[in-house]
Amino acid sequence: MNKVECQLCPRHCLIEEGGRGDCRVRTNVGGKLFSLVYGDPCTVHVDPIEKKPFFHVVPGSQAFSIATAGCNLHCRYCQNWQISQVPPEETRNMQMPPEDVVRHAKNNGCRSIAYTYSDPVVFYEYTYDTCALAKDQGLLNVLVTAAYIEQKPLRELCKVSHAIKVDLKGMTNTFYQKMSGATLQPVLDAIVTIKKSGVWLEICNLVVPTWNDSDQDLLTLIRWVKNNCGKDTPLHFSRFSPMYQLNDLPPTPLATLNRAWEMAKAEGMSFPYLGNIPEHPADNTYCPYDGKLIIGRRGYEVTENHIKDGKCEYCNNVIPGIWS
Amino acid sequence: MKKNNALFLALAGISVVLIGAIMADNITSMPGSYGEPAAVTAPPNTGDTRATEAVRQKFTRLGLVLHEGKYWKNADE
Repeated sequence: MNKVECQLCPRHCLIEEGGRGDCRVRTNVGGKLFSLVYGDPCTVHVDPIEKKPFFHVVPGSQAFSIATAGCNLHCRYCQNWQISQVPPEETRNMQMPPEDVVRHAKNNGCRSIAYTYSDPVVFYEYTYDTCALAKDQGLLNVLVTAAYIEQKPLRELCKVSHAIKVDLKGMTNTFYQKMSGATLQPVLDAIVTIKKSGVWLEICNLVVPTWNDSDQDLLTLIRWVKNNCGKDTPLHFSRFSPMYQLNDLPPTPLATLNRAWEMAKAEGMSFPYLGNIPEHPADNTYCPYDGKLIIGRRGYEVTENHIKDGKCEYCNNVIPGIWS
Repeated sequence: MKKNNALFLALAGISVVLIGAIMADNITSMPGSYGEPAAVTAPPNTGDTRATEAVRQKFTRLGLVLHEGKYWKNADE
């Protein structure tokens, strides 16, 4: 029987007839590779775009969010493991071809479609086709991904995407191998490609106690983002909560997150944020020129917005992002 | 004598094949012919076809639909 080699992500799974890739959603039938999840999302929801988190993409708007089963990473702290770490026959799927996704997004008053929860890399064909259709019809496409993807498919996907938030989980290969069963370099390469493509980029790092919370870990990440993506790239440090296979760890201490926030500011990052901490000043956006609060947030709610035509209302300097 | 007969038969057989091939080419190249000959493919291996069909049916029973994937290659290449 003919084996196929999947070339979508760096795993390059060799799949025998009837077998599946590591992601559980790509299979070999008759010597050809097929997706098992096209048009069959298992999760569909309308979310505030701040939940992804995207803080510089149409604040206060709604994102029509979809995901299928499967994932090409196996993060031990995955909060969506019930859909990401199972094959599609174990999730309750609904039939929603790309045109229906776009129609529902519009009917629900959503400004964007978010490809999220699991990872849009593994439902690539569905993501791509829906993005292309949505873009043609004036909707924004925002992707939430670990970016464990080969360069060629990524470049094509960037052509139909407007914003991508990448989970940069750590800065060592050891971390990626032990925490997620993956490797670091393809993720870094992907982030650089996304930045060069002009797609709006935001980066999130989940700070996990004892795993990636040292000053060296945080500083290495901050400096890499600044040097490779620019100081104006929004950088979110998110609080870990005990989850899935890491129930024995405590939540990230507030002091650790405050330290990360201060370090990012000290290194010159314009838009550092903290996530999963209610009512923290790091939820807000401050103008990097005059220091004034320009977007206020309480949880996922936008309480005030002083950006007009993409500029700070006070000093009239351009604030990078997608504001309409 | 027998060797000569065998050689004659072999040559005759080869000639028949060659003439037939030339004629076939002429037919398909002639204006007004029915066009390109169908690509010649190896007859399907009965075992592989059954296995493939079994896999398809398995996914159907699971309620899963196959959609052609992108970014892959035959692993034997």
